[in-house]
Amino acid sequence: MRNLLRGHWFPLLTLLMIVALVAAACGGSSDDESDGGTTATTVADDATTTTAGGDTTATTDTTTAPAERGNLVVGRTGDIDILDPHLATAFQSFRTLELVYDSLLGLDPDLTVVPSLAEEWSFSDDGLALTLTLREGVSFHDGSTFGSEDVVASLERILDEETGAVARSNVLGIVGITAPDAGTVVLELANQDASILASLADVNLAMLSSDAITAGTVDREPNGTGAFKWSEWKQGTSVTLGANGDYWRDGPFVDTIEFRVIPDESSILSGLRAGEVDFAPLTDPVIVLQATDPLVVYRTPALSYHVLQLNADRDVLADVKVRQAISCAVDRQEVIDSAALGEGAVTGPITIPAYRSDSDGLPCGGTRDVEKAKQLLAEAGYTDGVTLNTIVIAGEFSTATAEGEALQAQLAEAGIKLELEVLETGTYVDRWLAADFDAAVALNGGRPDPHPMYVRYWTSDGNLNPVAGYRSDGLDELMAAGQAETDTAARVAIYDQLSEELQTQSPWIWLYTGFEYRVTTDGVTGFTSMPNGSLQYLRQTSLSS
Amino acid sequence: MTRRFFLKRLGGALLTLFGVAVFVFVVLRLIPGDEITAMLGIESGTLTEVQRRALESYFGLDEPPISQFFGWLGNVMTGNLGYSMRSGVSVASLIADALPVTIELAVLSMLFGIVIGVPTGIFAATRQGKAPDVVAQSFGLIGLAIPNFVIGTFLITITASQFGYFPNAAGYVPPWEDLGLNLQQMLFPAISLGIVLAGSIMRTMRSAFLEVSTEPFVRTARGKGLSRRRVKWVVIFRNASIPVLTITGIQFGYLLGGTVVIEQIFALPGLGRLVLTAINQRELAVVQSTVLVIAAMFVIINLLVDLLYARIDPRIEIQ
Repeated sequence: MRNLLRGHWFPLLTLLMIVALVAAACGGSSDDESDGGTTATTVADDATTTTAGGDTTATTDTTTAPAERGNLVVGRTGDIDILDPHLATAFQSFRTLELVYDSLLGLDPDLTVVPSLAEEWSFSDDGLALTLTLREGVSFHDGSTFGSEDVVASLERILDEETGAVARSNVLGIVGITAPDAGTVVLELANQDASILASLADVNLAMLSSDAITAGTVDREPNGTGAFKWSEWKQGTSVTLGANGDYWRDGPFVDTIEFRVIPDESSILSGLRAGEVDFAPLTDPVIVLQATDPLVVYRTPALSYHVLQLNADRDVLADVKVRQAISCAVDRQEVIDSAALGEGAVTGPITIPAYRSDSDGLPCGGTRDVEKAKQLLAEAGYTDGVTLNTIVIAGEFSTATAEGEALQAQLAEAGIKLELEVLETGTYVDRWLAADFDAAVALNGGRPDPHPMYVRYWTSDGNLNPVAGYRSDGLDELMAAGQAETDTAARVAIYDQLSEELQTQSPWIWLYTGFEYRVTTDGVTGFTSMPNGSLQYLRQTSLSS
Repeated sequence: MTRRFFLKRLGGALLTLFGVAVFVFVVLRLIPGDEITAMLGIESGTLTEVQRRALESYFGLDEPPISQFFGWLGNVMTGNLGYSMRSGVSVASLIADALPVTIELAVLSMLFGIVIGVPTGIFAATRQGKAPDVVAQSFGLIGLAIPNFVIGTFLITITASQFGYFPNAAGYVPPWEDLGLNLQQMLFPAISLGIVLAGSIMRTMRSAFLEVSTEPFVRTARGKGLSRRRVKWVVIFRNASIPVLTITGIQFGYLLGGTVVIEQIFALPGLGRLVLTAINQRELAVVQSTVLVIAAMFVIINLLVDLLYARIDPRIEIQ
C-alpha cells in the first residue's frame, strides 16, 4: 500500500502544485488582458453607433424576422426590492416595474416626452390647467378597463402623504384633479409648470387600477397595463414576467422575461459568454471592457453624473475662491482615465441630451491650472492650504474609491488635502443627510427634465438645499423661470444660464458622465438603450438563436 | 456518556443562543441607517414628516426596541421567525429555500477538503522532512493562502470564456429537480472552498500525526509487536484525528454560516446571500432570525463534535 502510494502521490501532488501556480499566475495576468481588449471595444462601438442614432437595432444582420419567441434571460446583480411602483427607488425595481406598469406619458430614447396612456395633452392659456386625453381600449392585466377613475385614484394616492410616495414632491403643484368623462383628466396646477410632463412619465407615477388601490393589494400583486404581466417572484433569485397578449402597443416579442440575480458582474459576463444569460445591464467599465465579440455592447452616455459635492455651508468652503481653486486644480479627463479606464465624458451640471451644459463659466476655462488654484487659495487667505473631510460611498458604484483617490492626488498638488472616508451606504446616507462632511464623492442619478433634477438642491427652499449648502437669488429666479417656461428653446437658454452660474460658483465640482452599458448575446435584437438606464424597450426586444 | 455532561453542554448551548439573539438585535440597531434610508438612500431626505412616519409604521419601526425584541423572541419561540417586509414572504420559507443550498455546498466542500487533506497530511507526516513532505506542505500553504474567491473567479473565467461553460448562470436548480445540473453548479464552488479546507486539514493532520507518533504509548504499541500498519492506522491515526475533527467541525460551522463571497460569485441563493441582502436592505427580522438559525446550527455542530470527542477519547468526558 505504501509503495503504491509513493508511486502515485508524488506526480499527483506535483500536478496540483502546478495547477495552483498557474492559477495564481493567470489570476494576475487577466488585468493585462483587459488592457489589450481594445478590439472588443471597437466592435462594441459599432453596435452603439447604430443605437445612438435612435435605431432600434444593435446588430447589422437583423434580416431575420422576430418570429422566434422564447424566454429572455436578463442577468443583474440585485433583486427587485419592493413591488409598489409609487415607493420603489432601487434601479432593479424601476427596471422591472416599468415593464409591468405604464405612466400617463412616456419618454423616447432622447428623453423627449411622448404619449403613453395619455394620447394627447394640452395646457390651458394661463398654463394653470393640464388636460390629458386618455387612450381608449387599454386594460389592466386583470382584465378591468383603464379609465379616468384609475388616473384620479393613482394621483390621489401619490399626493396622499400617508402613502410615502417618493415622487410626491414632483407633482405637488397639482392642486385639483377632475375627470369630466372616462377618457379625460384635467389637472389644476398651482403655478405654471412645464416640468410636470416629464414627471408624469416617471415610473414612480405609474397608473394603478383603482380597484387594487381600494383593495390594498398594490404592494403584493402587481397589476398594470404594461407589456408584461407579473408572473413569479423567487425572492433573492429571480423575477419572471409573462407577455401581455393584449398590450396596447406592438409587442412584446418574447414570451417571458426572467430577471435572474447573479450578484457578481464578472459572473454575469461569464453567463453571457456561456449563453445562459441573454441580456445584462452592467455598470463596471472594467468588466464591460472584457465583453468581446460575439457579445454586443450598447454604450449610451448616462444621465447620471459623477460629482465632487462641496458643502458650501462649511467655513472654508463658504469662500467662493476656495471652491474655484478646487475646480481649477481638478483634471476631469484624468479622473475619467484613471478611475474609469477612460469610459466617460466630462460634463457640466446638466446631463440631459436636449439641455446638456457646455463648459462656459468653469473657473480657469475648464482646464487644469494648479498655479491659479494656489493663487485663488492665497487670495482667500489659505496660503498653507486647506484640509477637507471627504466622504466616499462604498459599494454603490465601482469607481467611487478610485475617483476619490484620483481627486486626492490632483488636489494635493494645489495644497488642498482630501481626507477620504470610505463609508458603507447606511453610514454615508446618514452623514450626507446631516450635511456632516466638507466634500462627498458621489454618483447622482439625473432626471429627464432639469427642473426636478435640481430643484431640491439649488432652490433656497429645496429640501436637499441644506446639504448642497449653496443658494442665491439668481439661482432661485432661474429655477422658477425654467419651470414656468413651456417653449423648449427658451428653456434651454434659461438652463444654460443656470449651468453657467453653477460652474462659476462651483458649489459642486461636476466631473463626468459614464455610460449605461447593456451587454447582450448576438441573438438579441430590437432593444434601444436609454440615457436614464430604462429597460422599457425590452417590450420591443426579440430573441433568435 | 453521562447525562450530566450532556445537560451541561446543552445548557451552555442555549445560553450561547440567547447571547447571539441579544447581540444581533443590538448590533443591527447600532449600525447607521434603517429600512427607509436603505430603500430610498439620499432620497429619504426629501420625505416629509408625515411620509416618514407612514413608512416607519409600514416597516414596524415605530415600536420601542424592547417590545420589538421580546415580540420577536416570543414569536421565534413559537416557531414564527417573522416576515420580509418587502415581499411579505415568511422568514421560515426564505430559510427553507436557502438552507439546503448552503448545507449541500458545505457537505460537498467538506468532503472535498477531507478527501484531499487527510491522506495528504498522513502522507506528508510519514515522509517528514523529505521532498514529498515539502511539496505537500507547500501545496497546503498555497491552498491556505489563495483566497477562495480568487480560485472561484479563476475557474469561472477560464471555463466560461474558453469553453462557454458556466452552469451557475442557468439559475440555481435544486438537486431534486435536476441532480446532474445541480452537481455541476456545486462543483466549482465546492472545489473553491474545499481547496482552502484541504490546506488547513492537511496541515493539522500532519502535525497531529507527527506529535502522536512520538508519544510513549506508540512506542509501547510497537514494542508489543503490533504491525506497522496497525500502529499507523489504529494507534496513531485514531489519536491524531481529534484535532482534525475539531478543525473540521469548526470549519463546517463556518461553512453553514453561508460562504457569502462564494455564493455571490456562483449565484447560489444560500444563507450567506440571504443575510447579506437582508443586511443591505435593513430587513431586520430576516437578519435576526436567519443569524439565530445559523448560530443554532453552529452550536449543534459544536455539541456534536464535543460528544464525538467523548466517544473517541473517553478521558475528555471526565475532564
